[in-house]
Amino acid sequence: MRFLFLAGLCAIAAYAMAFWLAVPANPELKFWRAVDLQRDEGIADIRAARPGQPMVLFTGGSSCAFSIDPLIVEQACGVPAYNLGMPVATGAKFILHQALEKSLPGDTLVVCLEPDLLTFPEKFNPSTLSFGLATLAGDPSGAVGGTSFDRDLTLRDCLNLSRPGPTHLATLIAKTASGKEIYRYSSEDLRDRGRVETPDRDPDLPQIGLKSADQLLPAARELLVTFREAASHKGVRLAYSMPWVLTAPDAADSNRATNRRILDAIDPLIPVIDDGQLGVSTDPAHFSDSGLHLSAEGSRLRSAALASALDLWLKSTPPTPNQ
Amino acid sequence: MNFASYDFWQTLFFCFIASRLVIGLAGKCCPSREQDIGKLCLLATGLVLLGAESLLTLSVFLWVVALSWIGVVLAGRGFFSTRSVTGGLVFLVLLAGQLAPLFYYKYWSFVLNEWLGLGVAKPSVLIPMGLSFYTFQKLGFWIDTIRKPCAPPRFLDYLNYCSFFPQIVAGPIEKKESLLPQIEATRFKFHRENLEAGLQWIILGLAYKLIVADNLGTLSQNFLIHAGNAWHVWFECLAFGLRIYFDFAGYSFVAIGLGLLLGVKLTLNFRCPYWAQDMREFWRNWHVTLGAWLRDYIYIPLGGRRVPWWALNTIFVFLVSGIWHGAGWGFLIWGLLHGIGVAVCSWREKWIPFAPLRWALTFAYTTAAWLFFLEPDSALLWEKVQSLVNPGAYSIANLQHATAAFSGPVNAVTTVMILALAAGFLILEGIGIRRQNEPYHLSRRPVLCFVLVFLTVLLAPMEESAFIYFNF
Repeated sequence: MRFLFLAGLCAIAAYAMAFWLAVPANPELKFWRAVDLQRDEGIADIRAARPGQPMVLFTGGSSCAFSIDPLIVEQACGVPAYNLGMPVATGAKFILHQALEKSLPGDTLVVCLEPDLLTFPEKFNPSTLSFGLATLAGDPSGAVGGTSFDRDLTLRDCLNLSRPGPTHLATLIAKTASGKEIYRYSSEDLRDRGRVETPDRDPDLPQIGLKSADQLLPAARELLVTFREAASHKGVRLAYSMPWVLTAPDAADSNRATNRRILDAIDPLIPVIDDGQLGVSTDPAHFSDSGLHLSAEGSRLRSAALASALDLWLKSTPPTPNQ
Repeated sequence: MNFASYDFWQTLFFCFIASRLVIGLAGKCCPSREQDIGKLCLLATGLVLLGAESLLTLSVFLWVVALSWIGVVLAGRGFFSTRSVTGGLVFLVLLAGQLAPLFYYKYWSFVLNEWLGLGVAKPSVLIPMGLSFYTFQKLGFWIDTIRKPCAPPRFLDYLNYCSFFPQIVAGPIEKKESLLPQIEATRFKFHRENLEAGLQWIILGLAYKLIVADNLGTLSQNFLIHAGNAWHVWFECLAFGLRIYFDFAGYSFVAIGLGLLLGVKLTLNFRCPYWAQDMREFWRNWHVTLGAWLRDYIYIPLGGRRVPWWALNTIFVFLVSGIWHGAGWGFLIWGLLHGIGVAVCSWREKWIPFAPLRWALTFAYTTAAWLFFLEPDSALLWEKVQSLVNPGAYSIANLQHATAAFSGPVNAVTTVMILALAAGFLILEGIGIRRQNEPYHLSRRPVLCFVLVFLTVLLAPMEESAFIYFNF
């Protein structure tokens, strides 16, 4: 029994250490938590300054955080806007839930989820990052979708998501050993209204080739339908806009056609705002440190294109009544 | 019945608690029946765990058990000993009935389409879990009873022999005389005297599976293997060889640990096989119970080593082993390579006097042979085989591009870390062999077990993976 007791103690100690590495000592989580807090404050300030006025909020993976400049949208549409993009590793359910939690009845939430989240099932999974962010925000079940998806954290989720996992640990050890900066973004990369921008440029940005997946998964359809119901229940209007991805020129036409099919499948579930690009950009100058993160110039172009299309849509679509 | 899954332990926990309540009640109401009630609970636990996987798995299992029981009862009465036509026919019908699910789910497409070219649609892509293992175990029991007719065991004991959950889906393939007496004497309870040893095996097994095998499985999905680069092909084979060993050995260790906790000693299926110095030694230590089954029921009846064509017998047995692992030409070639390797090593012992070189050659040979096991695409397989034998594929330029096998720095760093841990485990095995300890003695030392608990919590991948051998 002594061995069992000691092994149990080791397991508890290991989980405590794992939690410490995964949450308090996680540099990625620290950055995004700071972003989240700043966004909360920023939205609260806007709501206090313009009481009763609906907002336009944008959510999605980091491509959203780096792409949409809410100030440009606000100038074009005349409504205050905010960017709530989070890392794609947090999973689709967390990304959507946290944005809906920040929305109020009458707001418009533009979902800018990366198509991969809707065409590859593994991208739906919650992660240590979403667990940490949700826990620090006082809503641990948000990691798996929370009230927006009627999901609560199970013991299995807690045991699994409170650990760093091998990739995170190996990266942490390697970066510490090599003296490299632990996380590539800092508070200096935060811009107005929740947008993130990095001065880093990758001269060898990978361009994606032909896309293999062009079907909206049944699980993705269910995700969007469930979220539409949750948003409707809260009186929040939804729209979808596809992020820009750096694409090899010879794959551009094919990928636009593929994305068109995905958007056609999304449109009956959530209205699609067409910015004319169909999620494809072939100009590396519009991107910063990855083929999904837009540069300042790319962000300006993307925001302007989206803003004009969004403005037309907002004027032609009645707000969702609060149920 | 994935020992590395949360669901398994949760279901087992509830089954065990419910069983203890039932056994406790039985102990008060009818103490004389307590052991039988315990056996019924053990049986129910096995069937619940099988049924939790899928109803198909449970149904096929029950079909094979029913036919094998009929065979055992008849064999016990000497029905097959008289060499009558009726006996022969019944034997063939029962044999075909027991092998039918195996053929239907595993070999249909290969035999009818790839081999005979009939173009018959594949009936099912799913193979019921553990089918090959329990079919072989029951056939062994039946054949042993035919060879030495005796009264059949009690039906309840036979059912428990067949459905003993620690070993049902991936072995060890236990023989009648090894497992049945233990099952007959068992009481379904927590055997405290085996607690420490059982837990040590379980911790080591989960560490092998979760730290090394599952991580290598996840990481290898992102490897960018260039078939023309021999270094890449070797790396892929090495990663797979380590993965399959740590996966299957890990499963076997958990099975042994669970067996010990229930008071049943199962056969150690792996005995540090990667330290073997020739192919015969490798197969004495790799999947021990399958090797023993093939030896007892195929190799020896064919004449074994006593006949002039013993080398052909050896190769035939390994071809069966290959096809047992999977339906495909790759598996057959893998079996053929191992058969040739074992035959050559049996022909003359110690071809090479220098032991480290013998070990290196054996390790390289088994590693390269994994290529036929892991690569399902025949065109790509051929390209990779050509790389392995083409000196030009070992060029300096290819060596310089060896790191291109990783999809990025994160993939590289994580892979190196996991390979280093795998090497650590293997070194501990090697030290144990040099000191002539029991296999895995050092890795099961209490202090190391505590370290393994830490590492497993920290390094287990976020997604659950099934055991590779569940596919067989």
